[in-house]
Amino acid sequence: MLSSETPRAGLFSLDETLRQNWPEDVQALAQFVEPILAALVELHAEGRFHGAVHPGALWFFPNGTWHAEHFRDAALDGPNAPDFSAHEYRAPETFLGTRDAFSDCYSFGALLCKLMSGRAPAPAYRRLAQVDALEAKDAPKWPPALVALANRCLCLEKSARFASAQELRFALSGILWALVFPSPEAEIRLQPEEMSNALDIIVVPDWNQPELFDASIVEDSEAACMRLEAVEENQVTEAPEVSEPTTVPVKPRPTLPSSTIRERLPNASVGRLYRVELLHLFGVHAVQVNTASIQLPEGFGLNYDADTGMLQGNPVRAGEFELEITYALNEAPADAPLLRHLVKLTVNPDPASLWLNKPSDPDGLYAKPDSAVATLLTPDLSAFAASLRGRSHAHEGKYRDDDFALHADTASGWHVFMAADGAGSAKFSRCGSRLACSVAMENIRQRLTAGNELEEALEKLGTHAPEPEGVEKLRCVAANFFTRAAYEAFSAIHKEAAEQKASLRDFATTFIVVLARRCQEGWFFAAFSIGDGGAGVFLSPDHVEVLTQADSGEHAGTTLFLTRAELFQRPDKLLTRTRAVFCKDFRFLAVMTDGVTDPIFPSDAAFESAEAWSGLQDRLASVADLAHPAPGLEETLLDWLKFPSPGNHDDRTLLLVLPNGTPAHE
Amino acid sequence: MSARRLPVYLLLDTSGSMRGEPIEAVKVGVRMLIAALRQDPYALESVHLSLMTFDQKATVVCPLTSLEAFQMPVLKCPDAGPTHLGEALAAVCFRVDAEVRQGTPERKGDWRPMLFIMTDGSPSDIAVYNEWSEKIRAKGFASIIACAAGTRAKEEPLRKVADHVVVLDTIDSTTLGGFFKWVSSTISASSATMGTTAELHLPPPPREVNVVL
Repeated sequence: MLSSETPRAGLFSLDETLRQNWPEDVQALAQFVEPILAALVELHAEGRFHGAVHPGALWFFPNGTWHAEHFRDAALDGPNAPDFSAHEYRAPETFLGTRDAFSDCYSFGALLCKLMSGRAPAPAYRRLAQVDALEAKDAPKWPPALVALANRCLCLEKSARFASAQELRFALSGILWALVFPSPEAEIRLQPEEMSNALDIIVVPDWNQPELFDASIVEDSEAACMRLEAVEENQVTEAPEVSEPTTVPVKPRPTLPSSTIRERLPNASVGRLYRVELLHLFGVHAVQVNTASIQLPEGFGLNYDADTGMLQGNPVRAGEFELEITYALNEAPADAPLLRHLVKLTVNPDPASLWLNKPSDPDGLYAKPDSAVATLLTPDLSAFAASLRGRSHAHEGKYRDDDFALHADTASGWHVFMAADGAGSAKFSRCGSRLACSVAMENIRQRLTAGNELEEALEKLGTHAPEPEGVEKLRCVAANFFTRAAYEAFSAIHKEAAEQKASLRDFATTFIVVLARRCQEGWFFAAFSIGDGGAGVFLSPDHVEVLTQADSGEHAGTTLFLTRAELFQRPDKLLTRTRAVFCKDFRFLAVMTDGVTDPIFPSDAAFESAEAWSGLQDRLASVADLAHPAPGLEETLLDWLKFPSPGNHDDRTLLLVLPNGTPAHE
Repeated sequence: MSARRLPVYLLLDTSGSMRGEPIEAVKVGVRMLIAALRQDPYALESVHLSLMTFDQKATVVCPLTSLEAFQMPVLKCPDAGPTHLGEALAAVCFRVDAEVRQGTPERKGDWRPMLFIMTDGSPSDIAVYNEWSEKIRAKGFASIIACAAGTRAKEEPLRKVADHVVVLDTIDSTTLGGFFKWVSSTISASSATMGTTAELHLPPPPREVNVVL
């Protein structure tokens, strides 16, 4: 269904097709002739020739696509061989009964001549060897190199032509190459007086036929031409007795045309190890390459190791570079000059170097400091909070959207930890997260002091390790607590949005709250969350109690927000969002926004795995002494939050809670 | 790299009428787009590009590739031929199904993909177009932006598929350059503000670009 290329009835001739769409530039022209050339390459590779490259064999679909089958059938040995009456397209020797790859090249040159000047060249028997078949003035808008290429095809002396369609194709792509990436050298060489030489830079230097444009050959072809002129004058119909012009034996040229070498190295990045085998540039021709080396600017950061053939290192500068490769081919004589080829290399900048750090406006609406820290030290535990504006916000001077709050009711021994993450694109989400934390915290604080249901339920647990039913009962009480606090926060945001005449979505924020209390036999934790990020209690390297489940959508970044009014229409569902855990001991409790969980836990599944949490502990332990927490740890955490992680540049907030009195490590 | 990717699909018209200056301008434009995005740290880490063309058939010129590794492919333009945009939309749907990662418990999903369509005509395969413009709306694109370039382009059919239609009066390198620059800032804005289901805010368009919808 995706490639419905059904041939349509009715074909157009070359002239009709050109009338509709004449190739206007070299690229278009090359595209136009490429399929024809490709068909010839195929034939020549098989040692065959077409023998009838002329408009009579070229037919086109109405959409301009070339009818390849028809062309193939039109080959002189094919079933559809036409009468070759178009003399303009015939090489001189074909009048003498010789047809081969050389004569195909002549016919192709005549086709090029037609495309460039609007008409085919004069028939070979009317031409003089000294005069180019296609004069520059007849094809003013075409580059001299292309005119020269057509003329080389149209040489009366066949040894001066391209030996095969393959060679011709290389030369043509060389011209394209030179046009796209003009090198100063090429510019100089493309002066009109050196027109014929221009081809030499296009078909890489060739040591086998230095006498390509040798005077002797010109003489020879002149002689051949004279003979042909004589043929015409005498109106001889049968082929005259002309000996085959002396041809320079044609060997396969040991060169690699530029078109077969890749024009680009794989992209590199500043500061990242780059390792590429230079030979790969040569593709299938790599086996023919004997030695290769690449010229690298001083201090580029890359090195080429000739022994291993590897180009490797850490690039230092970003940008687009053009590098010269020199190489020799296996078949080349020892004294042959090295071949040269230019390749392009893109070096990407190091993203870290591109980040800007613009301070946010301290006087703006809902202004919030770019970072914040807090400490909470109680007899039972030490809590440290750090919140850092993400690089993506710093880059644009936007505010930090995260917020947090912590509180301990010393009388009852309850601790409350909160984190909220304002949605990146909601314009007032920094206020949403602030309100979520402050209002919910205030609500919980008031109810904790008023000798509360939580305390009652906890007492019922008794002094011994609680039964699961006991924990469940406590969970229900906590759920009630949380849901009401969340609703208060939602209402406050709703009110603020109304006052600001903004939509609730402008204040979108996630919300995580954790309650912690030491009991006689251990610790009780309860948590509630809406959205992503999360909280968990790390007990031992093989045991983690995850307190939240992230709400993640199908695509990254889609999550649930506290500001969704629908949430509060189903309070029963909200109640199930609370998890509760009782444990004898723990090493740390972490409450994190997604700016931290995303880079640390690669997936929601990893968030549940003790291994990943173990990794987090190791990372934290590498910067701070978790066993002996001391004031100042919050600053250490703030610093740690700057860790780089590709693609993760959100605000980061971490609340790290460490128990007192019990060793965090055995 | 496990970072979340922002898949960006560029769907470019290469039908016969684009031959010559228009297609050259498009090539220059895409190169500018790449260069501009490479200067944006967020885009450099998250943007993945896929380049597709459509004329009488849809072609994946470059499958979804990271911005870092992206190399400009060769864009071919046939001599003449219909504008099978419907078929191209179908192709985009298949590619999105195959390439864009959905979130699972084991793996975080990609950001919601973006699609940019540029055409200088109107779809010739109306029935197919109508069918797939419906289906592509259900593919979870964060944004589909269509560009009707030149006088022959019809914006009406594009409204069916796109959230935003922009109109360019001419197809030359200046106008297209402006368009692709704007595309780059749209992608940048989008890559920086992902994280919500809120609607994408388009950056202000340059003078040459008229946002219609």
